[in-house]
Amino acid sequence: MKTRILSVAEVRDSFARHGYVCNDRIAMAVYLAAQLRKPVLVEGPPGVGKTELAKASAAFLEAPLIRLQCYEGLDEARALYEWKYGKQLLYTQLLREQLGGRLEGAQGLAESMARLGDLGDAFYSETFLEPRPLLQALRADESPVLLIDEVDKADQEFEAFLLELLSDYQISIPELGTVKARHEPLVFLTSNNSRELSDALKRRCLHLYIPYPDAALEQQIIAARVPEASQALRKQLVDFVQRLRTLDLKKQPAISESIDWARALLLLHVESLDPVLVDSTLNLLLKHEEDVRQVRDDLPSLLK
Amino acid sequence: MSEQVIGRFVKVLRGAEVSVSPAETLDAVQVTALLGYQDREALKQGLSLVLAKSEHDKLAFDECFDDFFRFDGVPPVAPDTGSEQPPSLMERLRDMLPGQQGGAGASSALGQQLLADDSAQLSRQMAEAARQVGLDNIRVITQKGLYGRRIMQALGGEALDQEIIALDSSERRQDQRLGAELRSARDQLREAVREYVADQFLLQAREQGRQLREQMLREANLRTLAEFRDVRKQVEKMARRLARKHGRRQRRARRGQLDGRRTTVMALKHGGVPASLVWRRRRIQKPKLMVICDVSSSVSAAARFLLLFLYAVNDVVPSVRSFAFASRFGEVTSLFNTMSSDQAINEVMDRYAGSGTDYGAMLRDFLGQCESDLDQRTTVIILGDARNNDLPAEQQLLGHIGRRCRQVFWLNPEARSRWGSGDSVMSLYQPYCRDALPCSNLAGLERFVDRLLRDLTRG
Repeated sequence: MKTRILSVAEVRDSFARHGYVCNDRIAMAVYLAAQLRKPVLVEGPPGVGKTELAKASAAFLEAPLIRLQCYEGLDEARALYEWKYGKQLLYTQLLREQLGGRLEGAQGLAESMARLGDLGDAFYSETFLEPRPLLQALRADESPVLLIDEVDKADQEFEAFLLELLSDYQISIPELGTVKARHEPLVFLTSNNSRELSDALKRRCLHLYIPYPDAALEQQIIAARVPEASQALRKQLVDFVQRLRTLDLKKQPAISESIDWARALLLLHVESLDPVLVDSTLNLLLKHEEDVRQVRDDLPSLLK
Repeated sequence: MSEQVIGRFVKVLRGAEVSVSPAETLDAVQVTALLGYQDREALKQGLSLVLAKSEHDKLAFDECFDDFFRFDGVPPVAPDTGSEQPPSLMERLRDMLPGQQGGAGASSALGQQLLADDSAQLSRQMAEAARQVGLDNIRVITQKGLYGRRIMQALGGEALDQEIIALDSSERRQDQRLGAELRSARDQLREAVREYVADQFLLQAREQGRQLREQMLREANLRTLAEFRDVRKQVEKMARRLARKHGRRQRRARRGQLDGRRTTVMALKHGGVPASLVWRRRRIQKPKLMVICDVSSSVSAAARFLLLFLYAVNDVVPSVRSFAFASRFGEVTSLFNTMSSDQAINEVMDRYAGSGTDYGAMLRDFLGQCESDLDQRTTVIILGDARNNDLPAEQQLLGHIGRRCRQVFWLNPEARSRWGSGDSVMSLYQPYCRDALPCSNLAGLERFVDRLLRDLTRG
C-alpha cells in the first residue's frame, strides 16, 4: 500500500486518472482518512458513487479491496469468522480411534476429562477457523481498503459490534482473544440513510456527504466514463438530467443512470436529443412508472 | 492557540444545534494541525468532515464556519475570492481607526497606539481584552454595554479619558487639538468594541438561548404553547428520541431462549452434535392503540399535542386509530392516513370542535362502533377533562371497555387537585383506568408516551 499521500490535489488527480472524477471535498476525505487513520462514513443518495469511491481509493493506494455487503440479519458469523463445523465433525470422526487410544487406560472419569482437555484447543484453532471479510481485513499481509457497504441495512446490534473495529482496529473473539490488525485498514462505510445511524458510530468516523454533482462536474464524470460521447451531446444530456432532478420525482436519476443513458445513446448513434428518442429511452433514467409518466407530459418544456 | 480557537468554534457549533463530542473536538484539532489556517476552503472541508455528521449538520456547519472564522482574524487567503468576502474585523478596524502620523504627544499607552497607525496591534489587544473579561460568557442582550465598558477598561481606557480631560483644560492650542483628535479616536474605538461585542453576543448567546427556550417549551402550559412557531419541531424531536429508544427495545425483546427441541432435531444432521443452535423466537405482539380525544375548546390544545406525538412515534406503534369528540363523536383515522399530521389535526379541529361534551354518550358511541375491535392487544387512551356538564357519567361503560381491552389510560389536562371539582366526574372514571395522569405540558406528555411505549414494546 502506498503510505505517503502528499496532498489533496494528488488524491484528486490520481482518482481522475482512474476514471473517478471528484471534487476537493471528496479528495479531502480520503486524504484525511489516510492521514488520521480514521474510517470514513459516506452518505448520500443512491448512485452517486459511494461504493466507487472505495474502489477508486483501493486502486489509488494500490491496496487490496475487501468488501462486506450488509443486509438485515447480518451477524458476526457472516461478517467476522465462523468455525468450520463440518470439518470439525469430520476430524472427530476420523480421529475417533486416535482419541480412543488416548483415553485407553485412563483411570476414572476425571483423568479421561483431563486427557481430553489437553486436546480440546486443537479443535478451536486456526485450522478450523473460517475468516470472513472483517477478520480477513485485520489479518491481511498488507494494509487493505475495507468497504462495509450499506451499513444502514444491518441491524443495530451489528453496528454496535463494529465500534471496536472502527476505533481501535481490533476485534475480540471469545475463543482466540483479541485480534489486532496487522496493518491498519482504510475503512469506508456507506449508507443510504434508510435509517439513522447511531451517534457512537458517527463519532468514530469522518463523515462525508456526497450530493448529486453540479452540471460541470457531471459533465466531467461522463467525459471520463463515456469518452466517446461528443461534447455537445454530453452538455445536452447533463442539462436534461439536472433539470429532472429539480422535479418532484419518486426516485431521482443518479450519476450511474446518466452514465448508462449516455452509453445507450451512444449505441443508438445519437448526435443530439430529441423528444421521440428521449421518450423511448426514458426508462433508463427513471425507474418508476409514475415518474416516467410525469416527465413524459412535460417533455417539450424539459428539453428546451 | 489552535486548541482554544477550535474549542470556541465547537461551542458556537453546539449553539447551532450541531452536537460535537470531545473526541470529535480532538479530531478537529488534529485536522487543523494537519491543514493549517492558510487555505480557508480546505480547512472548512476538513473540519466539516470531522465535526458535522449529517446533512443538516453540514448546512449549520457551513454557516457557523463563515461566521466564526471571519471574526477570529484568520485572514481569508484564497486570493480570487477575497474581494467578495465581507471585510474581516481587522480590515474594518483599520478603516475605522484614525491613522494620524506623528502620534507623539499623547502620554497614555492607549492614546499613543490610537495615534500611531497600529490598528492591527489594537485589534489583537481588543481580542485579548475580550478574553480577559470573559466575553464568552455573555448571555443576555442587555449585558452588551457592560462588556463593552469592561473591554475598554482592560484596554486602558481610563488613562485615556483622564488624558483627554487634562488636555481639554489645557491652555495650549496644540494640546486642545490633540485632545480633540484623541476624543474622536476614542469614540471610534468604542464603536469598534461595541460592534465586536455585538458579533460575539450573536455567536455565543445562541446556545444558551436555545436551551432556555427548550426548557420553557417543555414546561409551558399546552394551551399557551400552541401559539409558538417551532413547538412542532420540538415535539418531533422528543418523539424521535422516544422512538429510537423504544424501537431498539422492541428488537431486543425479539431474541428468545434456546429452543431445545428444535436444536436436537437439527443436531441429528450432524450425528447428534448440536452444531447449530436454534433460538426460540418470541412472537412480537403488535400493539394496537385507540385514542379518544376531547377536542372541545377547553382541552383541544392538549389533544393536538397528544395526536402529534402519537403519530410521530409511528415507527414503534404502527397501528393507531384516533377518535375525536366534542358535541359529536367520530373516527378521524382516515384523515391522518391521507394528510400530514399537522393538516389532519387542523381538519379534526375544524370538523369536531364544539362545546357541551357528554362523556357518557361518547363512551356509548365508542362501544357501539368499536366493541368488536377491542381485544387483548388494544390500549385505549382517553384524553379529556371529564367535565360532563352535569350529564350522567355512565362509568360502568368505561368498566366494560376496560374489561374488553388490555388497558385504559386517561390523560387529563387539568391539575390533579381540580379533578372531581365542579362538574368534573374524573373521580368516577378513575377506578376503571389502569392509570390516570395529568398532562398539562410537553414534559408530562413525553413522560406518558415514554411509559406507554415501554409498556407496549415489552410484551
